[in-house]
Amino acid sequence: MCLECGCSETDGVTIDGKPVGYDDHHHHDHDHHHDHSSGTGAREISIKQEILHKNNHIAQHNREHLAAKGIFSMNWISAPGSGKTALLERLIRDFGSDLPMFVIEGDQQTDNDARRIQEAGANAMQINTGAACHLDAEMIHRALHKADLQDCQLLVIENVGNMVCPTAYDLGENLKVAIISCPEGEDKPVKYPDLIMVADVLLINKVDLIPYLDFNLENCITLAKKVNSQVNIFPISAKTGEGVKEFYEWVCKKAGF
Amino acid sequence: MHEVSLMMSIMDIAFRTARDENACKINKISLQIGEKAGIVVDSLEFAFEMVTKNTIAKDASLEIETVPLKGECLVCGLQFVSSEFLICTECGNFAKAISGQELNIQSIEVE
Repeated sequence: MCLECGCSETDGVTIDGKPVGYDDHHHHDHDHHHDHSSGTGAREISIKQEILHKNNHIAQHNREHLAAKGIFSMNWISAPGSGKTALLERLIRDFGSDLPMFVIEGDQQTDNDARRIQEAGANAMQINTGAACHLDAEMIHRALHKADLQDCQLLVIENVGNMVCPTAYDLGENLKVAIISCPEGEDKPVKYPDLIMVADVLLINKVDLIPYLDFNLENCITLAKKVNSQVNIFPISAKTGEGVKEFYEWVCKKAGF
Repeated sequence: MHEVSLMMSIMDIAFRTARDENACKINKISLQIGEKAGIVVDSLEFAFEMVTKNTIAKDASLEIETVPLKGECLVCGLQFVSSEFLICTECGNFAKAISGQELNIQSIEVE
């Protein structure tokens, strides 16, 4: 474990099954020249820095890299099983021929989701985070350098299924998209307010199941607005396609396509 | 769960600062954590013990200032502390968050 630079947090991370070489960005040789004998007495050093300063710096680099290529990007965050991958499949099948997409899939293990996206007709890359519960900007930076983004206009990063941890990490996206699904309960936006508070978009998926659930859509929307009145809300169904076109057209407008 | 990752980032900054200061020991690390920053303080403290073991910060204390969620009304401009909703306590209109999402390292004490 490297306590010099914190790089061990990415141990075990793979992109498309290959280990990511995080050890090439620094070395630990003692080659700096300063006097180790000094430093007397306790003293307070003011830092006043964001803890994720390094991540945020790389995220900004990712954002500029994508903007230079004319690519609009989204970071999709939800609990496991909300239907992120199914919704992506729907978007790719319905609109992929009009808007070339690239998907970066984040999961602890397996490349199942990347294969599903490829079968739906888009290019995809799988990041396996191993023990980590979120994607960070460095992982996306590495992935972007390996990805063939030729002709790609829309990049979707499907984060690891988790509504808490990925919230803090800027990946360099243009839009942070939170996804909940009706079976999760109408109070989900207040159970996980930290995500809703920073989200640009809230997708409420699986609305086709509402007749079978004790779920009031209006209540859910009202609760979400109480946490973040600026969030753009789209009730959708990846299965039936309801609301998906509205969301797609809104994203295209936002991206200037 | 990401508290360990965050603590690694904190210690990265702390160790670099200590090295630049030619310090041989870190006594204290002061953080500012927003109430709505998705952090469990107990987990952060646990991660601190784990990550500082056998380092120059092994005897250090961790000081955490919790920053409450504060809203500012989009209509009347009132600033207020909230535990849950961003709804103006005065006029009932929507508000935006102005604090409560901080994840900052404020200072370290070294010798």
